[in-house]
Amino acid sequence: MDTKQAYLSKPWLKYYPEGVPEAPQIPDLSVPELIDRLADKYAVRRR
Amino acid sequence: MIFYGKKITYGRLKELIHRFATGLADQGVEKGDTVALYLLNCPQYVIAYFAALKLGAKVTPISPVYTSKEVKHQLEDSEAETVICQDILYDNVKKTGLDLDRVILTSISEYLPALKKWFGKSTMAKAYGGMHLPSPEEIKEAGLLSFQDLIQKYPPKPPQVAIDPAKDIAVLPYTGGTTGLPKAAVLTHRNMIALQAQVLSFWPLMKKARKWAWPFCLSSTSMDRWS
Repeated sequence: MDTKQAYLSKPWLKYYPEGVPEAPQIPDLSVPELIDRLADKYAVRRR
Repeated sequence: MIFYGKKITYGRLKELIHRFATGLADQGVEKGDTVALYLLNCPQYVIAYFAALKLGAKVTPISPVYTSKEVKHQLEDSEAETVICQDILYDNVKKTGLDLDRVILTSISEYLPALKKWFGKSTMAKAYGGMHLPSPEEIKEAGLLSFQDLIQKYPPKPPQVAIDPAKDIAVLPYTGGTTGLPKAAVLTHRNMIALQAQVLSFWPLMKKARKWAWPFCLSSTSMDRWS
């Protein structure tokens, strides 16, 4: 296997912990949109 | 968010972000502008960071250990018109000689609990003994703004700004100063959202820790603070 083939085979994936996806889902949001949503969701919760 | 024992709920944090964003907008900050943060580790960093992004402005975080020469390079290169600055660091901004549209000052003690605020003054005086705090006359003469004045004066009603996550720039951290002057890494909103998604994928426990909203504050100076 040459270097390019080795790269394309993504050998690093076998070191990912169980449950970690190969590619995460990226929501189509701006940063402030996501921050506002999260702040509303956890608005008053404390540790 | 907890700062030396002072707790700020996410609800309150959102309100502070929106108040400051409203104040920035009223001072003329618009989508596409660059806002520089020259701050220590403190809640004002988080508030200012997200307030600028709320307006569609770009954030460029400046290391608080930079000299005036380094500060000048980053301000010029990023075309920052606005600097949100720790009061004890203002001298370095002043020494750049740049004609900035607005400089907003803040003190580390503003979000400390009452007792620590008192202790904090003597500790900061020792730590930054050689630093010059601008006098009230200097603040007035130079037209410097107060972070807390903006927070208190404005309601949490920032203008609605359309942001294209794929195209609009969010952050300009500066990096790679070993072979020359530092250069900006240009990060869009989608880059920042992807970063958060990647962190969450590898760090599922963060979902439970409720700290997970904040790995956005990524920069050459703040990566270790918030990620």
